[in-house]
Parts: sequence; C-alpha cells; structure tokens
Amino acid sequence: MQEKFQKKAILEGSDDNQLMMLVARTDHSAFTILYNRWAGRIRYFFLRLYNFDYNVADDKTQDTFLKVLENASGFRTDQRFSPWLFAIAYNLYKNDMRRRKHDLDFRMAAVSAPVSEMPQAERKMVIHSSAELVNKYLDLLDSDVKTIFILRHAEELSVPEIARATGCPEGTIKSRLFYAMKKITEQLQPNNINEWI
Amino acid sequence: MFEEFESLLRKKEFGQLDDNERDLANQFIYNSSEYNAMRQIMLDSNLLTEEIRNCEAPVGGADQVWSRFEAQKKSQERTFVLNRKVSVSWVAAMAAALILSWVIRFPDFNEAADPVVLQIKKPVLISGVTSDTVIKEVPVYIQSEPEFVVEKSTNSAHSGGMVYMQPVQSVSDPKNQRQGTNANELGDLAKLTVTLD
Repeated sequence: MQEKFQKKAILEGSDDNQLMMLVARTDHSAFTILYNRWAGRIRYFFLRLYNFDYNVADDKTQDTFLKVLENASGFRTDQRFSPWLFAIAYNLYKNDMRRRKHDLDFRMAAVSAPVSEMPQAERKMVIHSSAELVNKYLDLLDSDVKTIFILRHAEELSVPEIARATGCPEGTIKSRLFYAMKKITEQLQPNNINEWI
Repeated sequence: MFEEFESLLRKKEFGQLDDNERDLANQFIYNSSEYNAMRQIMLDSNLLTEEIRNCEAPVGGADQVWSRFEAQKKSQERTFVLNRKVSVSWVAAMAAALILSWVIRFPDFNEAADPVVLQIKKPVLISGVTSDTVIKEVPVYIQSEPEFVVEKSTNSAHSGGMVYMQPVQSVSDPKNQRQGTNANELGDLAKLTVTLD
C-alpha cells in the first residue's frame, strides 16, 4: 500500500515526457496522471471549437486520449508533449469537420445555433466587458484562426509548435494570428462595442 | 519579428516603447490606439488561461479510456490470431494440394527421381527420312473379295495352268459410281492372269 502511494507521488512529480515513456509500456497509473493533468485543457479546447457543446467535447477528449494510448510508442521524448497532444486533438477535430461537412442538418444547426450556449457555471467565468467581447468574437472567428489563437494565447504554444500541431507553415500561423488580433481590435472600437452590449 | 511584437504588446504600453521598439511596432500597426487595443486583447486573453484552469477533466474519464483501449487491444489480438490461423491453414492446404497433384501426375515420381534408375534417353537422328519424301495415298476398295476360278490347263504347251480371275464387279458400274477407284487400274486388274506352276 505504501509502495503504491510512493509510486503515485513519484509519478506526479514526473514530467509529461517521463510519463509518456511509462504509458508506452502500458502503465495505467502514469496514464491516469497524464490524463488528469491534460484532459481539462483538451476539453476546453474542444468546448471552444464546438461552441461549448459539452457532450461532443467530452467524447472528443476521450478519443484524443485513446489516440494517445494507441500512439504512445511513437512519441518522441525529445519534443514537448503538449504540441503533440494538441496535434492529435486538432486532427480529430478536422476529421470530424470533414465528416460533417456534407451533413446538411449539422450545417443548418450550426447556422441557427446561438453564438454562446455556455451553462451558467461557465458563464460566471466571463466577467469583464472587453474580455467578454474577446470570448464572443472568438466564437465568430473562422475555426482555423480560432484554433491558432487559442493555441497561442491560451495554451501558450510557440509559433513553430503550432505549425507542427496544425500542419501549417509558420508564416501562415503568424499571419493568421495577426489577422485575428486585427479583427478583434476592429470589433473593440467604441461603435462596435455598443453593438455587442 | 512577429513574436517580438507580441512580446512588446504583453510588456509595454505604446508610450513606454523606445525608438527601436516603435519602429518594430509601426511595421504592424497604424497608430498608438491600435497598439493599445491589441495590447488590451493580449491581456484579456489571459482570461482564456483562467478558463482553462477552471475547466475540469471529465469524471472517471481516464478509466473509461483505459478500458476502451484494453478492449480494443484484445479485439485486435483476437483478429490477429484468427488471421494467422487462417493464413497458416491456407498455406498448409495449398502445400497439400500441390503434393497431391504432383503424386497424381507423376505416380513413379520417386523412381524417376532416383539417379540410378533414371535413364536419360538421348535423341536419335533418323537419317533415312528426307524432307521431300512423298507419301502416296493407298486406295481402299470397299467391295467383296474377288473369286478366283482355277482352270486346269488343257494345253500342254503351257508350263502351268491358267487362273482366271473374275473381273471386279465395279468395273461394269458407271464411272461416276466408282468412288475411290481408278478405272484404268481396275481394267488392268481385269486383264490380270496368274500362272500356276
């Protein structure tokens, strides 16, 4: 029993790459710690991309970690874990979007759905006017630009890491980031703020 | 360069920038108000980080993902074993069929394969046949065997008795009915006399 606690303490002190090495050897405890460390962030990523649809976000989070288990042996320990993880998540999202592209019902629902359907518990986090504007504007951004913006400003990945995760050239990432900033800035002009409020 | 601009946005207001930093910023913005608006977005994007921290992982997710992975692995193993069994059976069946067909085709396979028993027949050159040999068609007569009448010779001058052979009946037939025969040849036969000692 004591050994179990000791092992858990050691694992919790390990970095992501060390845990991944253990996961590659199908270590359940290491996987649980890695999951608890990252699943919330991946869930948030999907919540943003799926307009706060919790069911889809939870499913996609599970799918992402299933992929992590399947591909654990292919993880290179000389690279950071988070870009690799977000690359898996982003690919799942892209594949899902491709699959849904021809589904007319989904498209109609996406058009008619309100911009934000966050539950009250989540709404509490949106507190200030300008911050709320950023949130709302993010939901109106093109999904590719939104993904890059979240990865850069929320997940704090570097531009080369985002390029690896999304499969886009670095120049494209930079121009999209700048485009997003510019668009949000335009929306933050006093006239536009009145429209939002 | 874009990363440096982002870094400036995070750290300083427009009024705090030195000349070099302003030159850099001016490559991305038109005026100070735009710079400050972008800076505000950068600061507000910290809210996203706060939201991420508050976003929890789906409850019991790690165990669910692990059990899905285990089930998937078992299923794959079962499929692999099944495929392997099938493939081994196929190879065995093909080998058996090959041996069986060999035995049927070459029943004295073992003897023939014995180097002692095996006799190599050398090709024989047939020198008597030349390529310009004409093979003559032999006529076949479809008719009853001619009767032979033996007459005793009354003429002592003859050394032997004469044999009268009845003419072939077909000679008297119309020419067009004498199929497969040569009229001249039959006429010669009719005149044939055989002398007996």
